[in-house]
Amino acid sequence: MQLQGVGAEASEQSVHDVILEMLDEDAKAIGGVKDAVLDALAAVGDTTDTDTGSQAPTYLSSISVAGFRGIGRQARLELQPAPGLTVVSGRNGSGKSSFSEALELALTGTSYRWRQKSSLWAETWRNLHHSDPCAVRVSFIADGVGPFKIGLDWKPNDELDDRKSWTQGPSTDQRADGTSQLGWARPLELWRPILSYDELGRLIEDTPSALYDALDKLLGLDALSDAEKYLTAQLKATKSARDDADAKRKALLAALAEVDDERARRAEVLLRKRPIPLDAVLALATGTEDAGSQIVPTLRDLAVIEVPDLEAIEGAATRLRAAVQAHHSASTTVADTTRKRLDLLSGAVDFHERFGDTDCPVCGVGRLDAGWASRVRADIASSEEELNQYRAADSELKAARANAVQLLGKLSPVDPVAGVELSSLPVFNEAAAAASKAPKPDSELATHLETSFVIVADAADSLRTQAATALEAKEDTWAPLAGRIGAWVESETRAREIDNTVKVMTAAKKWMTDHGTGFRNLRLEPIAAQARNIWSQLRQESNVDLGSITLEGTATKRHAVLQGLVDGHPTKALSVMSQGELHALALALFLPRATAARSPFRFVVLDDPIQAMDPAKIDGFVQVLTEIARTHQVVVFSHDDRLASVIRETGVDARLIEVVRESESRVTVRNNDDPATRQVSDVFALINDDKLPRETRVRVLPGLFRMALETALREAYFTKQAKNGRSRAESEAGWGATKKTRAKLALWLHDDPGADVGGWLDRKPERRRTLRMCNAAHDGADAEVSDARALERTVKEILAS
Amino acid sequence: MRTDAAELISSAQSVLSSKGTSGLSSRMAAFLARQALEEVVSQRCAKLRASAPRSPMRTKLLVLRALDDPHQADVAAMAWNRLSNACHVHAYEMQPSISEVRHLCSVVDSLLASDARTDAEGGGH
Repeated sequence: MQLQGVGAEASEQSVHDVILEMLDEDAKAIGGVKDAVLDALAAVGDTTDTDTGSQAPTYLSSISVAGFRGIGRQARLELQPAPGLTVVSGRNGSGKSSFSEALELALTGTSYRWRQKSSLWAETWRNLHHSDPCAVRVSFIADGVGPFKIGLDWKPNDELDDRKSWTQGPSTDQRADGTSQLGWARPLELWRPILSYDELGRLIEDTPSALYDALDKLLGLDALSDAEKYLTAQLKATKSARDDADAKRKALLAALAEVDDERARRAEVLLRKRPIPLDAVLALATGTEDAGSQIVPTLRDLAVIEVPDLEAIEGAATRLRAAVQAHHSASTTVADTTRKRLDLLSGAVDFHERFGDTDCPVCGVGRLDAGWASRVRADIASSEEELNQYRAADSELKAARANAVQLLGKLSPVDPVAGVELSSLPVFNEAAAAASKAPKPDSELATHLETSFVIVADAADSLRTQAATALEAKEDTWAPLAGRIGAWVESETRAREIDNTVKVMTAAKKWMTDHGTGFRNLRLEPIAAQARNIWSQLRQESNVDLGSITLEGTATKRHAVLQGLVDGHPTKALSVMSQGELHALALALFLPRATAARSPFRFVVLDDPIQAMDPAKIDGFVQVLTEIARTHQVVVFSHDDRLASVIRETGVDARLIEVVRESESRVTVRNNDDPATRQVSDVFALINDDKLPRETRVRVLPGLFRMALETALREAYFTKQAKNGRSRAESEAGWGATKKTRAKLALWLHDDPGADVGGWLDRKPERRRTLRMCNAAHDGADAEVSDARALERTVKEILAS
Repeated sequence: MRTDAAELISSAQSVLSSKGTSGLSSRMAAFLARQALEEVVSQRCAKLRASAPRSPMRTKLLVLRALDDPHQADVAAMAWNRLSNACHVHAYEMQPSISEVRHLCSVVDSLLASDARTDAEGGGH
């Protein structure tokens, strides 16, 4: 029946370490996943493992309330700041809940009850009879550090939220504003030490995800959830670039499909390639690369198509006509025979020059001599000039004709442009073809040149205009598309840079989700075992056995699964439980949370936890509380006497306190029963038992005297030590090492088992008498009722010290 | 005398598992178990040479607490209180559950066993 968990939890590794171990073991985890997971953990900070572990275990030593809720004049609830069970009983309306509400308000700044019905409570928080002073003081003792105090004060007309809160101690007597310096915000969230009936019901009856969250919180694995959330957010942010690029590409393809443009077709082809050649796409968009494109360049050419201009044509025609004219006149002046005769005379002069004076070789009559030669040479010279004129006219005619033909030759037909309607294109081609057919005679050629070229120039003009218009139309649809392609290329480039990151992040998130569930349930298991253990004691007559408790699903599908066994048949536990059983189950689940070893709170306050519990379960509940009370200060507020009576009847070691409220909200707190007082009453019972043989009484009584006195001494010693900032472990060691009653007395009085206690003993007559009875085991001395009275007084004095 | 306590507790246990006790088995068993427990406690006191034959049970349990193992004495005290509760009709309380009485029977049984063990260790009387 030992409550496990204290040891098990204390040795728990941090989330970071466990994850690191799991990552190392996981051979399949791809390279970057490990870093991504660790980065996520680092980013969220492993707060549970570092922030909360160092605080000193803290016990409650008193709650003092004035003018608040059901309490009028100041009332004070003194608590033993040590492990143990205290039951504070009081009727409904006695003011006992005002103590727990005051505590909750001082600790958390709110109350679970108020959160549910805020408007109702907001108006009734101040006591009606004595509303001033209105204040709350909660005193604590931090183990090994010393006492400190939280205070709340209201001025007469303050609203609930106008309170001034302060903290005093442990290291200084100065009051500091607020309670934040205690560092309890997170521990309170993780290990709420106050559980009320309302809250217990909520824990179970709320949505499945609420139970998941509550359990998850008690695992202290917020770092894990936070890291998962962080990865999800990071992934979403990172992925948005890729998603953006992909969406742009899709929209772009749709837009391209609607456009009748060769470049659009080409762009479609490129955009469907895997991987997409970004350079080619960009070149297409910017127009720097037109390879493979036909239409646009052709149109561009047509738009600036050149034909010889009319001036040049006219010049050529005029020149040709003039050449023809000049040639004609030259031909008439210089007869052909003249040319032949000159050729013959030139040959005869050559002949004479070579062979000297001789008879004419042609006629054989005349004589070729020097006089003849000189005459002939003069003749030749004058005729040559005429001849040269002719030759020049002839070559000019040839040149003018060639010029004209060349101009005509410049005209070539252009190819039609696929998919582009250009009506002037065939007209141009016809005109060009007509112009090319040059007539032979030179005079006709000049006229042809002039007439046909006017037509060609006209056709070229319209062709240019049409081509330019077509080109412009093309560019108007293309330009925005080109712009979009450019934008897409930019997005795609960005997306590609992080594509690998997305891959890693996706894997990391999956890894976290896969391993997180397992990890959670691994961590949950000791708590589930504790809960099962508590449930096994609480269930008593219930036929529902609690099986495994697991957390399943993620995000909105997260839920807690409580397996149950009804008479051995598996079922979902929650669905088969009664209201009372659900409350018991909630206690079973959340007592482990409140008593977690890492919590700085060594106190657990339960406000009316047993309302719907049947008597058999109360027995089990007392057992559970007794177990927890070994290591924790358990304070139970109860509105009826059932709990107290079970404790009285079964002799459970507990303190019973009664809260009574009289008229005018006067609340009295009475110590009804505590272990030492109970042992004193045992002594009375034994002394009053006249049927008990004397020799038995003589043997038994000293032991009972000693137990009663030592119980009181122990309580007083531990309280004193705690107030002086000594740790409980230290006190226990000191106490354990001291055997004799007198030494224990000295330990309490002077913190030294060897110190002299004579002074204290002599101050009151009953003291020495009591101590003598404690040590009378071998004296054979009998005790009387007066001895019991001495014990009673002594114990009271010690406890009141 | 030992047999008496052992017999009482075993008959208490057989009552618990028997049929036809008209729903009163737990109360009957509690009655038998309480007698067995009182027997064990008396024997224990006698063995400690601190018998108090005519004293009330509270005295005997205190004797055990002072002279014997206090933990065992507490267990016996708790079992006796609860069995006594089960033996009387209380206002607002129903009769004890079978499982509760069964558990108390096992507590008495274990006290009986530890008594026997102490005897064996101490050489017996």
